[in-house]
This record gives sequence, C-alpha cells and structure tokens, in this order.
Amino acid sequence: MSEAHPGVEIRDSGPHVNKPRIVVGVPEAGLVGTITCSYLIEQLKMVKRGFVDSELLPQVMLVHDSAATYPIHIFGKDDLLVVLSEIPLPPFASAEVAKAIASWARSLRAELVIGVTGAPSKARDESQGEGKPTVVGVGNSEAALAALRSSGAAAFEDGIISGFYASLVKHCNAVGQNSVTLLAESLSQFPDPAAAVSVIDALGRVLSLQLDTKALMKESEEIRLRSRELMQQTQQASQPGGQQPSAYR
Amino acid sequence: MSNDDGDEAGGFGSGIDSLFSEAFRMVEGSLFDVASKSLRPLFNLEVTDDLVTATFDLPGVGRDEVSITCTEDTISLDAEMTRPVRFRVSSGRGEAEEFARYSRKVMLPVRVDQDKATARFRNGIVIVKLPRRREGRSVRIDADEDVKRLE
Repeated sequence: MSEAHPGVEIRDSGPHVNKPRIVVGVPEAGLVGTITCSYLIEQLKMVKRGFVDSELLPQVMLVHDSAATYPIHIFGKDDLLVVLSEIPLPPFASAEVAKAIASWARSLRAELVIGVTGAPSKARDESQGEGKPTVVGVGNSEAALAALRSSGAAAFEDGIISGFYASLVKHCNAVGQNSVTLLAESLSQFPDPAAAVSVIDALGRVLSLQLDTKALMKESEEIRLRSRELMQQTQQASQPGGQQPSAYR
Repeated sequence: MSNDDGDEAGGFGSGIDSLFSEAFRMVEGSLFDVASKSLRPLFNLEVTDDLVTATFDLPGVGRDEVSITCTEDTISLDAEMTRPVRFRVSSGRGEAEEFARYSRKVMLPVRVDQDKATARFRNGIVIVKLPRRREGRSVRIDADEDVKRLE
C-alpha cells in the first residue's frame, strides 16, 4: 500500500490487519523510542513488512550482508505494527514523516497510534540515571485517554512536547486518529535503556501484552555502547545548523 | 554482542555504525581512536555563570578505573573498560577493531579553578564540576554629573 504524500512514501506490503495498534519510535531524547521499538521487534520476533522513505531524509541506505534496506522500517506481528527509524530525522523531514504516518494509520483504521520516547530530564541527568524513570502520557481523545489510564502512566499535567512526537500528535488529531504518547523521564544527552524499560512496562499495559524487560536490563550496557554514534548524530541533527534536508542547503 | 544474522532492525549492529559516520558530518569528530585502541566517550558540557559541568558516558567501566586530570582550561579523562569491546569502524569489509579504554581531552571555553574540582561516578556516568575562576578587576563608575543625578 502506498500513500500519496508529497515527499514521503510509505510502502507496506501487508498482510492486512484489522484495527492495528501502531507503535512509533524515532531517535530523540535518550534514544528511548528506538531502544523500545528495537526491543519489541526482537522480543516479539516481529516480521518486516515495509518501509518509510522520503526525499527529505539524508541520503542513507543501510547495508547488511550486501543487501540494502531503507532506514525507516515497518515491522508487524498479529495486530501490532512498529515503525522504527534508525536515523535521526532532520526537523523539516520529521514533520512530513509524522504526517504521512498519521494518514497511513488512519487509512488502516488503526485502533491506536502510540508514540514512545524520552522526556529529557535535568533531575535524571543530575542523578546520573539512578532509579526507575517515571512515565507520563498524552492522549488526544476519550479512547486514547482511556488507554492511557490502563498504562499506569502519570498524567502529563503541564508542559510541552516538541519535535517529531509533537508532529505525530498534531497530524493524528488532524485526521481523527486516536493516539497516545508515552514519555519516560530520560537522560538528555546519553542513551537511556532504563527509560526504555519504563516505557515498555507502560506499553505492555496499553497493549495487554506480556513484555519481559529482563533481557533489556541485562543488555543495557551493551546497548549504551552500541548506540553511541546514533546518539551523537541525534544530538547533531537536532541542533540548529545541523543536518539539513539536501534541498535546503 | 553479535549482530543477529539477517536482522537489520537491531539498530545497534556493528556494520551500521560506520555507514552513519559517512552520512553525517561529525562536528565533534569520531567516537573511535583506532591508533590508541580507545573510545572517545559521549560527552556533554554545560557552562553557567559560576560553574562548568562536564558529563561523560562510560558504559562498561567501574568507578576505580576512571582517572580525571584538570587544568585551568582542560579536563582529561581516561578509563579502562572491564572487558574489551569490538566495533567495526570502517564501512564494508574488514575486521572489527578491539577497544579496551576510553580517553578524551576536553578544552574548556572558560577558565576554571581546578583545585576545587569535584567528580562523581554512578551507573557508568561521570559528572565533573568545576567552579569558574574569578577573573578581572572591578571597574569603578565615575562619579560624574550623570551618575549623581541618577542617584
């Protein structure tokens, strides 16, 4: 299936899923979204079913054993779909990608779009990642708020969300798509697998799935080591004057 | 950790890292120093009116293995890893390189009082705090007509 969106193409080869739940993770604070989604894919043995591409993205293809793949993947299992980006999205591209994902979700009659990410926290930086990060949630409809209540996430009382996940909420609103965003308090500058553990706990309750996080806790150090470069690129991409879409150079 | 065969979703696979370094201009330079077999740690610097706070991410290191040296305008950090790790640093073919330590020297944008440095290690993260050096001399405002009128 392909969606008409200027500059963004979503290629989903199916199979058809009735009222899917769609979890979305892109590299932002603490890499919480990407760590969460990678772990889901691994734990649930999800199967690749498509990709998102955009001419606004940096010109990158991933190569593994000589096979080239797009860096934004779509995986699926049963009624669960995961969209995972392995590259940081430049600000301009990120709004367009969010918009395309929202329309695509609506066209699939998705039950819920769930953005997962970190909320950079001074307190967590200061405590050097000690303790279990709390998760707050944002919902855009009665149904979404009901899903949030089941997640055990604390209410997001006041504040802002920004970047890709703000766009995702905005465009889900625009097309009438139920969506929630789960944000774990996270380190602002370093990969934070412990924050991903908190998000996965909340996510398991939203999805009514048993998600075991023991392996993630065990691999935490390894993940921090392996995701250093992605973290560095994510910081650079989010800075003004960082990575720009090539059309705007 | 070995990359799951045929699974490009992991996001932490060894072959992928090097691709990124070509795709993005590294403002801060590479995170790998192959010659000295050391990793350059992720690092953050914050400067306020009276304090410089430097934070280093050192997964795989114990607190006793970290050594930090400060001068009035640099912080140098060295740390042995509990066990060596392997990364494939160059794209395409080639053996993975082994790294056994972290090393980084940071030039500070302001001068600090290195004798009053403090450091704290927790969860593989080091925070170094350095008070900024009090510099300069006070400047008197001339007691001319305008100033008097204001008073």
